[in-house]
Amino acid sequence: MDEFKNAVHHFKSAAASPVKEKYVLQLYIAGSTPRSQRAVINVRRLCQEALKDICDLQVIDIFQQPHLAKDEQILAVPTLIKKLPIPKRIFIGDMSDTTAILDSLDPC
Amino acid sequence: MLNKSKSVDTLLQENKQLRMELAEANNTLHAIKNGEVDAFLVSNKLDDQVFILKGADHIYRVILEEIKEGYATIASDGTILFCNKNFSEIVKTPLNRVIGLSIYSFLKPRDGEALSSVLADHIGTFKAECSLKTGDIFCTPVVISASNITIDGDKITCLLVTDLTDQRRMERFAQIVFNQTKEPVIACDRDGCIIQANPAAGRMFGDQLVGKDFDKALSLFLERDGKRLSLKHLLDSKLQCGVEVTYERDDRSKLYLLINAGRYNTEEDSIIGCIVTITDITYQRQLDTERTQYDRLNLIGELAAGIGHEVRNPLTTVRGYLQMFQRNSKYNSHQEQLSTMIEELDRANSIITEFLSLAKNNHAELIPGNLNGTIHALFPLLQADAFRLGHEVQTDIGDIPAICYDDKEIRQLILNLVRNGMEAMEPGGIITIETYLEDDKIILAVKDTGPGIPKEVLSKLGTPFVTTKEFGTGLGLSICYRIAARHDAKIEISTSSEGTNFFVKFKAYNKQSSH
Repeated sequence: MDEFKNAVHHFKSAAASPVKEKYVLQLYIAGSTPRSQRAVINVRRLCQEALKDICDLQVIDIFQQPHLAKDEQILAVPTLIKKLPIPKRIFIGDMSDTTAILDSLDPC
Repeated sequence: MLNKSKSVDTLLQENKQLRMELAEANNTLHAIKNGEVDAFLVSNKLDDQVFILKGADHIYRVILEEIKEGYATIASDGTILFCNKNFSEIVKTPLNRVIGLSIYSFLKPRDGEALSSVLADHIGTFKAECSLKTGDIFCTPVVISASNITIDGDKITCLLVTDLTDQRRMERFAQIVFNQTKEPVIACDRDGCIIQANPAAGRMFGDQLVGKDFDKALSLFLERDGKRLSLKHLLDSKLQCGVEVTYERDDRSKLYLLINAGRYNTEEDSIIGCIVTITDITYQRQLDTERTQYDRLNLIGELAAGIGHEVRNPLTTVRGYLQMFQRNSKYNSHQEQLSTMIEELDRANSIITEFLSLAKNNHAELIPGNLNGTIHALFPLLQADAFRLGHEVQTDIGDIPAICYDDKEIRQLILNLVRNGMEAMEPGGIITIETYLEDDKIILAVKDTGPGIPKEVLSKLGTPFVTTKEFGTGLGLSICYRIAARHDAKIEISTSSEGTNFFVKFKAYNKQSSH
């Protein structure tokens, strides 16, 4: 938990620039499987705490909306895609390693 | 071979990009190898297929996705972890925007509080009717049923959401029909206790109906035998529709009603209650009575026109000869008999005159005037008649507008009504003639203080040659009805042991039809 908070603080400091870009994230899940649920919780927390007010999150269930997953060539789920700001980043798994995700989300 | 056209920076950048892609590919493989994924999405030219790696839960997943109700899985902090298409349709938010939101953003604070204790403590269940937020307003009626489960150590809550919009719409529609219908409709439970009554029922029977026993609240009597209507008996009998009953209101006026009653059952045929609809046929009855009377008068009128003149002519001849014999001294010893014969002929002639006035095609001279003037002019004659019989006649004249009427005929009408009243009373009786306005009608009322008209006579009143008087012709009232009809007026009667009242109701001048 401390690690998480440190990562958040670090990220905030590193990202302290005059212009804050909007983050567009897409999380692909497989219905209500346990990993998918954990992925939703983790990503949502990440958006609320580290990317507050600058995050546009969509959560796509590949069973109910498979056509939305096709364009992104999703191989396995859960998968989180950072569409903006570029470059595009892809993360696979239940997103429990939020530190690694936050580091990778850093645009620089 | 090295590509010498690219700069070092470009190559370094490319290298960096490649390293990143390689790292992503390695991460993907690593995740798959370590079982960190649930499913693969494989797309080909024909379709997209999802290969799930864990569980034989395919059928259950499809059920949740496809059921008519909305379904959502909620974390303990209220985060929507999963929902089906129908849930997103109920809250009118795209599916890919709903997951990840808080369930509390769709609930009113009070409902959210009630749900939160179930979510947070993970104990108990929640089932309630709520209004879900759609757009900016809480307008979608639903039933939410929540239950807690624990899977692999994770505590989650399952919500089933049933949209009541259509049901509410049907209920509102039925309620509108129930409230607006002109006929009284009353719903009772299985014990005959009134559970619902529409506004029409309230207007007819009074407002305090709900909660009362049907038979006790409504004193209805069967027309066929005069017995009191029993709801249970009616429902048990074969004839449950079109049962004719009478109902006496607080003001003693009588209503004629048609009752239709039907049981209200469940699908298993157990009785929940019954529905009673009531049609007021009083006006129709009145019309039928008037029509019958009018038909009778018309028939008599036709006879009168045909026979009257034919009989009068020979009478006139006989009278002439009798007068001649009276003047002849040869018959002086028979003067008394001759006078009697002439008197009898005169009496016969006056009956014929009265009879002829029933003829349908008598023409009335309708001229604008005020009834009060006619009453005033007639009053001395009426006073004289009253004095002779030991009665009193008085007037109560109101401020009434002019109407078109035949003065001679109306005098006849008033005379007949007043004389009838005087003949019905014991000495010392009082006749009152009134005029007044009521709604858009001018009322001429003749009231006596006699013993009233018996029921068996009342129904035949106005029929020619029906009389209760020893020497009456039975044509007086018939003539009154005929005169009223020629003036587009109606005669109504009320009677009791304290007297009888005749009301002649004329339309106001500007509403009268032209003749």
